[in-house]
Amino acid sequence: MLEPVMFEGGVYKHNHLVELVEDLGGYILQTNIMQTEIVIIMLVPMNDIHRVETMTKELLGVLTRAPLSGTEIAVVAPTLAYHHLPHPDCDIAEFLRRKGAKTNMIGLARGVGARVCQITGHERSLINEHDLAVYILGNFKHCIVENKPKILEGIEIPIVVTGAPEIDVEEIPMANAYVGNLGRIAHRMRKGPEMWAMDEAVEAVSEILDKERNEMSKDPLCVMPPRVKKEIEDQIPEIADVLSPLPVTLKLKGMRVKLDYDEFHKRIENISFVEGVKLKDIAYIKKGLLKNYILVEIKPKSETGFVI
Amino acid sequence: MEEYEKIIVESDEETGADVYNRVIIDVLSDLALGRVLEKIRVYIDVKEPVFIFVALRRFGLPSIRLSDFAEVDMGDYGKNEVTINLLKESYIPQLLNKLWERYGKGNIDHEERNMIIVHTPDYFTEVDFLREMIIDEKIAQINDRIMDAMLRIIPEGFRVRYHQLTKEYILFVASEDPIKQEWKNKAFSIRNGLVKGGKDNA
Repeated sequence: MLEPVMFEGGVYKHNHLVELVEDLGGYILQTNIMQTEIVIIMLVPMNDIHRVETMTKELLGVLTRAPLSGTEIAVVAPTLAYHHLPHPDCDIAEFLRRKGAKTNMIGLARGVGARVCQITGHERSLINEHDLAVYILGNFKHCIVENKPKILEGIEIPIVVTGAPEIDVEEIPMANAYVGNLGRIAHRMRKGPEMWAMDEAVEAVSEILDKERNEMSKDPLCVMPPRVKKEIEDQIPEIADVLSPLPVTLKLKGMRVKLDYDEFHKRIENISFVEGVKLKDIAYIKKGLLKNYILVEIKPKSETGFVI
Repeated sequence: MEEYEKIIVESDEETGADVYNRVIIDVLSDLALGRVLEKIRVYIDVKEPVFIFVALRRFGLPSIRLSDFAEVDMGDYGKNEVTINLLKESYIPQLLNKLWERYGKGNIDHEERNMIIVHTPDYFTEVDFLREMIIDEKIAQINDRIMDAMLRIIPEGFRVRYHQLTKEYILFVASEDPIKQEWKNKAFSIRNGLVKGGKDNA
């Protein structure tokens, strides 16, 4: 069992930590170097976590749990106009990223209004490419309960809704969780109750994803996504030249590879593992809606009959 | 005491009204309009749906005329020109634009820093006109900012709008359906109470 953790500390000697994690059989998911500071998100084997903790102490860094590591979350706003951005949408997305998630912000074309709000098929499919969607809605209960469920229709992934009033989640069809005190505001969220509300939103997201992971453990994937990521990085050198953040973005059941589908999908399909299987045998390789990127969906054990 | 409150947001939903109060404060402070609007009354009915915004305005700064920052005179005897001796440099760009528009670039000489010469055959009448020429209209800028604030405050989907903007007040009704007369009447009654109250308190 791998534990997702985040290291925050200085750049000096951080390679010792990277080597230790790799020696222990863990994976480095993301490294962000900001001048002399570094943030590393990684998966570490649960039994050896004390070794990483000791090394972190030696390097004078801080190790925290990052429960959202390896997930891609859609932060959905009715539009990307100044009514919603940068507050509160960016603030909530930032809180999710701090716990290790990769967030994509999606503004609907016609998501505004009560009677007139709508969502297109393309937008639905785009949101469904993620692990979870956080819908950031407004200040009035009537609007959230009566009108906005229209833009939740057709979403097959778990949905967390945020808004200002206190609402029972049962009242919002299709939503898995609702977090209050996060309505439409026009200032940066920095006061106590606002920060607690954002913590609550992150907690709601973590809970849902933990449940998903538990469900998945009953029928595990035939290969762990971080391992496929490592193989892609080793076998396709072009991935190193990709300038997008997180060239291989991990998801719960696969990953998004930020290479052009038409040019690279054959090579991705033919990625080989030491066990003698190719990626196309154990995963579906699809064309994503986001910029022609490649989507890899790993098959569960029940489909392939083996785990590598 | 309610009439002395600066901002009152009325709605069936208390939480929504409180948050909207905060949105209005944020938007007005972002656009530095806190001292421009004296009293604000908002009525929101999400079931209709309608958003009514009425605000009483404070009198703003007067417009800047050319005579406020320059001495305007006829040129020397026998010359068809008006001389503008600038006492302040801050309005030169706006002034030059207005002069070019009226007289053409070829008729404006700006060789010295503080002196502009306007060549015109009607110098006798133009000199009076130029003295009273409005160079910088503060009220127009403030009106633009008020409209910007309105668009930021009202819910984004409410694209059918009715508004009145006068020196005394601003009235805004927005919805996603055609504006009903009863909503306008509601806005007018809020406005009447506010304008009257404003005068009484003044």
